[in-house]
Amino acid sequence: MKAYIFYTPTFIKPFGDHVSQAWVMNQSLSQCQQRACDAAGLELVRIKDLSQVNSFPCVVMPDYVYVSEKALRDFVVTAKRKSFHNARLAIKRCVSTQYSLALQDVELFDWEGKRPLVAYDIWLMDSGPIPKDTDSLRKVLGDRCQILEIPLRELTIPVKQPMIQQQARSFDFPITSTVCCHLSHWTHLLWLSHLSFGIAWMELARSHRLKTGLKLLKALATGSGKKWKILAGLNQVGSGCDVHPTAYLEASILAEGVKVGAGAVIRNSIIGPNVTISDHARVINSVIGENCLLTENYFILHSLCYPGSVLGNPKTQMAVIGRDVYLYGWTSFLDAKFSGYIKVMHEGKPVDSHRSFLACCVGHRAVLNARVLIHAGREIPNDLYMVSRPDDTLIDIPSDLPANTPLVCDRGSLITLEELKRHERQGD
Amino acid sequence: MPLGLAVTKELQQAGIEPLMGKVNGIQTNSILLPDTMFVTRKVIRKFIQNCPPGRGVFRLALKKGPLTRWLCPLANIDTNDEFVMFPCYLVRKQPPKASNWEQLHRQLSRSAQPVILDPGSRVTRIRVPTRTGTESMIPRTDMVAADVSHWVHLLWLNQLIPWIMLGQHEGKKNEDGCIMGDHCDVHPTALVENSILGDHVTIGPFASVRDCVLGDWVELTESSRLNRCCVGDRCRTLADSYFIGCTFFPGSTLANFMLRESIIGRGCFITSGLVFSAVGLTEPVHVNMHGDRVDSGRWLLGSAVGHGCTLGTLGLRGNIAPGMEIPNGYMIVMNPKDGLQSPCVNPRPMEPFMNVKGTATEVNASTYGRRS
Repeated sequence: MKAYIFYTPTFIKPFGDHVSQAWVMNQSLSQCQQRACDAAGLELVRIKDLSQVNSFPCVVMPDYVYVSEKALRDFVVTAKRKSFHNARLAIKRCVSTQYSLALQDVELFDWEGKRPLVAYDIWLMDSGPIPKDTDSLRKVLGDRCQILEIPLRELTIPVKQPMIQQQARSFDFPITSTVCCHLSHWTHLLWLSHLSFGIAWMELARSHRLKTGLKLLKALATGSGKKWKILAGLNQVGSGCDVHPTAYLEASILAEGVKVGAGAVIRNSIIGPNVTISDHARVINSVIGENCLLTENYFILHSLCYPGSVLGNPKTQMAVIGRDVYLYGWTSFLDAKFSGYIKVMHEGKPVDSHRSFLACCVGHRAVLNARVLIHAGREIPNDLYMVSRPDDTLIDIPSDLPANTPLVCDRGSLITLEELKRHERQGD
Repeated sequence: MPLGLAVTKELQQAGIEPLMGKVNGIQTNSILLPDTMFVTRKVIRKFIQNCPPGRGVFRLALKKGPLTRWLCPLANIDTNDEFVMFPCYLVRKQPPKASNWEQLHRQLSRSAQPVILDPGSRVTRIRVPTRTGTESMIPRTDMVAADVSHWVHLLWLNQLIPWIMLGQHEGKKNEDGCIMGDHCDVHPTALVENSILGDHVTIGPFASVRDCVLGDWVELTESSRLNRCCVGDRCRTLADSYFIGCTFFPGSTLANFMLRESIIGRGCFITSGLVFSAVGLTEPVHVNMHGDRVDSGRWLLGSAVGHGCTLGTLGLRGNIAPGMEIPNGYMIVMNPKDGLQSPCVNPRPMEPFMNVKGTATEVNASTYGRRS
């Protein structure tokens, strides 16, 4: 059976990339779609428009849909088992579907009722015709196709968030491999990167059943029932990796050629090929793209990083970092809002992200080398080159100032504190 | 230790009696070198071994490679396509008469025959956070010769000292590749690797010391992290400090979130709040030399801090540009108005205030805002 993925003019801001190049699971979205189709036994055909669909039965979906291997396979298998000839993929309302739901263009059914469902744009059809116009696809096919809920199992982990104004906050973090998402915003990439930990492990386990089973047995045997010890034994380390003996890995997937320095910590993360994680850097619940350099003592948490970046800020959390970004020099991302939700730009207007904790998205090739704070939810455009204000940087040090006398930075140079106060008294 | 003492020790180990003196009392069959030069014992031994027999003047030369690339930018040396010539001579004839070293050096260099040694090409590659995506290739050899005429040479030379010393004392290394002095106190959670520790060194919990040389009575407190540093006697780091590729003269108290490729003079106090930039964004870092700003050839280079400096903070936004020199005895503090000096006396709950020129000011009442 063929799976037709048709082109839509969906672009992810601030990158300007077509959605098929969006970075998910350390691959482009188009590679993820290919992998899912392969796992479901479907022959992927990319088409410019729906008039090119010429083989039935088939699966049709737009190019902005991310679907995990398991979700797509379950959709095909369940439709066959239940003899659904025309079906639309749906997942029940649960922690994982709600996790990535904000700003998604999906249809909700019986949302407050007994059987709430999220319906995605993945259609199984046994015959034509198919509307030529993608805008009327949902309307026309919605009448023809039955909603098919696919099975879902998820594990949720309660995570405490910082208490603000005496109000305790927490949320359930889902782990599942049944995931579907309509990508149209950078926040979707971030939510998917959070979910990729569970997806990647389950997909790895399915593709290498024996190896993963043995690894799990070994981890259980050495872990003596203690979850941290078991998780520390569950790592997938690629060939040619160089991991310092004092580094700590936990439930992480490292591709080939990764270098991990002394005292570094990598937990629940996916690390791409040839990444260098320097001494004492910490990577937690993050996806790091190929060939990135994480400098000494860098801390990255719950973030997604495209390939080729150099990262050296004090701390980055809940952020999306574009390709070949240079982030070094104390640029800080604000990532919390004390009341209400953080707003992000979507389709030209600010909208609620439905999150109180969210940093920003840094465009491709941006250079951030200034001591500035960037507000939560902002989009840093591609190629932004940001340096410190000249008067904040000490670039001229006179050699004739008195020793052991307090000196202060003034317009890029040093003057004595007395002189500064004199200027201020004179209103200069 | 001071450069002169280090060279003296190396010459003695090579079986040469060092004599500090003027250029007019030189005897035949002598090694001549200025006091700005550093050589290891292995270089001197090989130089003497490789000099051809008979009368003449022979000049030390090193084949071009990682070592010369590392140490020779801004150095006062002669070079050609294949090798770098240092002002170090073996004189096996009556030396010419000269009134100073420069004159003698000129005369010797005219007749000297270069003796070329190969320091090897073994390197440690380290990815560095520069925009150009370059790697640092730190030469790993104990055959080192260097002209030390600028603070950058002192910095770069000191980054090689661990390899030189560990190569010279191969048999004394422990299982972690370290040479430990007497009465060292290393916390069991600390990591000490490929380093040389002097006597009475104290290393606190969760500290990390890699590829470093620590002098006597050095104290590293909790979570201090040092990579490729050379730390003088009686230096002390404060908790949670991070230093990479730095050289510290003795007797300093040091704290910084991240200090890279910098050299700190004797008896300094550096706080955590001071930010030293160490990256050239659009061009390599420039440094002062003979009154001009010159290209150091490095994209990653910090600053030099003179003796007896006390460096506080430059405030929330302030930082020191790369390649700066802070003269001896300077005391840098924050502009008082960058910090909150006058907190609000009777704040109302959840009423937001902001710092305007050192005074807590109600956000709504503030005149602070966008420029028109």
